Amino acid sequence: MEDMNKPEAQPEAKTGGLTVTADKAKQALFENLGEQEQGVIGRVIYAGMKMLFTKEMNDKVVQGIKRQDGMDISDKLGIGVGHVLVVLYNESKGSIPLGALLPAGLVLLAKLYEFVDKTGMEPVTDDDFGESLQMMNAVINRTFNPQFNGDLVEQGKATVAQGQQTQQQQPQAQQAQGLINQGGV
Amino acid sequence: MAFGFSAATIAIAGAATMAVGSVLGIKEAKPIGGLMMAGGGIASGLTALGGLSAAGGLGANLATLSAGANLVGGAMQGIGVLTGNNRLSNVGGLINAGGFIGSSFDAGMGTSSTSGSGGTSGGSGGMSSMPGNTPVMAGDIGKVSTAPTNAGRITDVLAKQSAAVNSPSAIDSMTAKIEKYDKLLNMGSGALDMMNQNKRLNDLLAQDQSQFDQRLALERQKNTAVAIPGRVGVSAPATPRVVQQIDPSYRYGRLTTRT
Repeated sequence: MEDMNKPEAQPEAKTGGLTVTADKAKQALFENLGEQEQGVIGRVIYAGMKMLFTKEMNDKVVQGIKRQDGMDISDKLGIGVGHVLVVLYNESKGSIPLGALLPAGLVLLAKLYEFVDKTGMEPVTDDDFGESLQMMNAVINRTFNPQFNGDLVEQGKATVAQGQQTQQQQPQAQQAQGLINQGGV
Repeated sequence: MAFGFSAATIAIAGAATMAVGSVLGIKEAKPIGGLMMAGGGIASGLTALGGLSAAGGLGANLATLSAGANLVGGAMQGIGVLTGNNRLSNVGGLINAGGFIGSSFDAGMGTSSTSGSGGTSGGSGGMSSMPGNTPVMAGDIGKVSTAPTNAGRITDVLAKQSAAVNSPSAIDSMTAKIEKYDKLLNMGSGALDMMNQNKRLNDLLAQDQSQFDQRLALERQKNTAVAIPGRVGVSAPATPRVVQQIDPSYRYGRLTTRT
């Protein structure tokens, strides 16, 4: 008889909801940082929070999130926070150290995800958050490091070449092992 | 396609505030009158940011973009542990790899360089295995093990992540994200398109001008309504000076006013 209490297998994608929070992100980020770095990143987070959640700007943010424009929610939020960081950096006339942008963005993105999740605007998951973070990373790298894409392509080529070399070596090694075995018989 | 929640929206709001600020001789952008609705967000953000450079040093760990990427990469592994989601840890690895690649830009070196991103992070074991690198840096593992989290699990995650980042699929994933971003920008989103920004800025300024004109007309109407057409003189509370402004040919002595 089939066990009725056995839970059914769930599809892996889009399940689990959102467990990432801004507090967890901040905790993980600040765990090994000195007070000086914490202060700088904290200031950028605070400035970003003002930009995202001050009433008049938040109205625009919400409009953008709700707009049916065919974009994935993860792309929308990742690009959105990435752009907030870009604007903040530009308007601050470079007073923000570049190294503070992505860490601050991590926490801001988590906060925005909490906002979207708790308001029920869109269903979001941890996986979406991961996708958004990668997109935000792409925005920042693309904006501030014009070589990034080229470097990435070169790195990809090198990795693929290395993989092919490994694959070629394996049959040769097996062949050699086979010859050794034959000689031993 | 348009990003409502875009740099354009925010930049325009900020730019409008900045423009007025500079006209009035105000160095920092601040919410001013009717622009408060438009520029308040970024203005308050900048106000919150104020004095950052005077904070007494910014920290060596934040000097470069790649250092920041490593911090995030390390943190994501911690978040992966906190949430029990290995995928997030893998994302941390990807961000780290991005930082590593970016470090060649920061350091002005080739991509095979081992310098730059690795040990400077202070994150929880951020360095991943890339060609020419030690797969996991011992110092980082040490940092991980002192953290009040499951060190063994993090090490396990690091090992998996090391393999993940070193794979062509990880590179593909990062490349795909950048290509997607480029594509979205090129689809006329206008998020960073200067022409579009300018157009929208002009629209915004035109809107402000229109409101300005309306207010001006209203105020003029209030002042001129007291003049009585066809009569020499005006109703109270107009003064002889007001009437003379309406028709300079009148002399004060000829005016009749009601009190």
